[in-house]
Amino acid sequence: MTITVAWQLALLAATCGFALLAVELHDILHAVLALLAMSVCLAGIFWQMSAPFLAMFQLLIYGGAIVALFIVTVALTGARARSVKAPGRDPLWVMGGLTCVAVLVLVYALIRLRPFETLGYAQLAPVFVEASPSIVMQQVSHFLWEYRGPDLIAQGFVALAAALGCIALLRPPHRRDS
Amino acid sequence: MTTLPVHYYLLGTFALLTIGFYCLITRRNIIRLVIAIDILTNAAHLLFIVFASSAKPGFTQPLAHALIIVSMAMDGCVVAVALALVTLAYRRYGSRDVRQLRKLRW
Repeated sequence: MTITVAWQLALLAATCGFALLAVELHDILHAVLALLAMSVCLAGIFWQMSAPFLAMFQLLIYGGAIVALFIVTVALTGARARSVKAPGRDPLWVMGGLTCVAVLVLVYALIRLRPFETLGYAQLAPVFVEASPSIVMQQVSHFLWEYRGPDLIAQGFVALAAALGCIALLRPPHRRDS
Repeated sequence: MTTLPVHYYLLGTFALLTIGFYCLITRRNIIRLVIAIDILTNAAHLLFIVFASSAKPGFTQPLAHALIIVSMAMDGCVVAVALALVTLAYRRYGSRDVRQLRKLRW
């Protein structure tokens, strides 16, 4: 096992572990911090898989903006002081856990027993795959910023719509009632 | 360049998906549900980039980069609106428990 493989395995395990902590931790602020750690580990995986743009965006959007939004929401709703009561003996908790374990075992069995059809398509090598890493990264950045213009414009409209939606939702109550 | 076999990544991705669905099924805190949606989106991104980079280790197809960057921005917008809705629901109902939002039901 090389050092790269060990790093990737450790980052993947840490990502799953922090995701589980984000779900299971009782204090919601600690859960948000676990989500931040999961995002950092996922950015590390993207970096290891030669996707530095994705690692940068993962850190900026998930590790920065979304975690800040979560912390502001936790502060506004007082979620730390009065947490929602844990399900306890609720049968839904047991049913959900059993269903998820069954789905995970089923997916693992399918992966091991049957060849994944999508892998066949993913194995088709693109033309630039034999180029040197620096040329590939130049092509990636050229492709992103030259050929995805409509996507970026649509993305800007969605961001504007989301901002207007947030402003409309968070208006003061007296303005909404009048 | 030696990388981790794809099967490990697939198993990790489906573990993330399972954790997200488990949280959606069992938790009642609205903020926790938004966290679950976040985990599910991250799992989808990881699955996509695993397939996009499995042709040759060390190289990722640029289309996957573009689509995931767009998806990340969309997910940021979704989470922002969802958290605004959480704040609004807390103001109106005084609770973050989804079971208390009975006025939204039929």
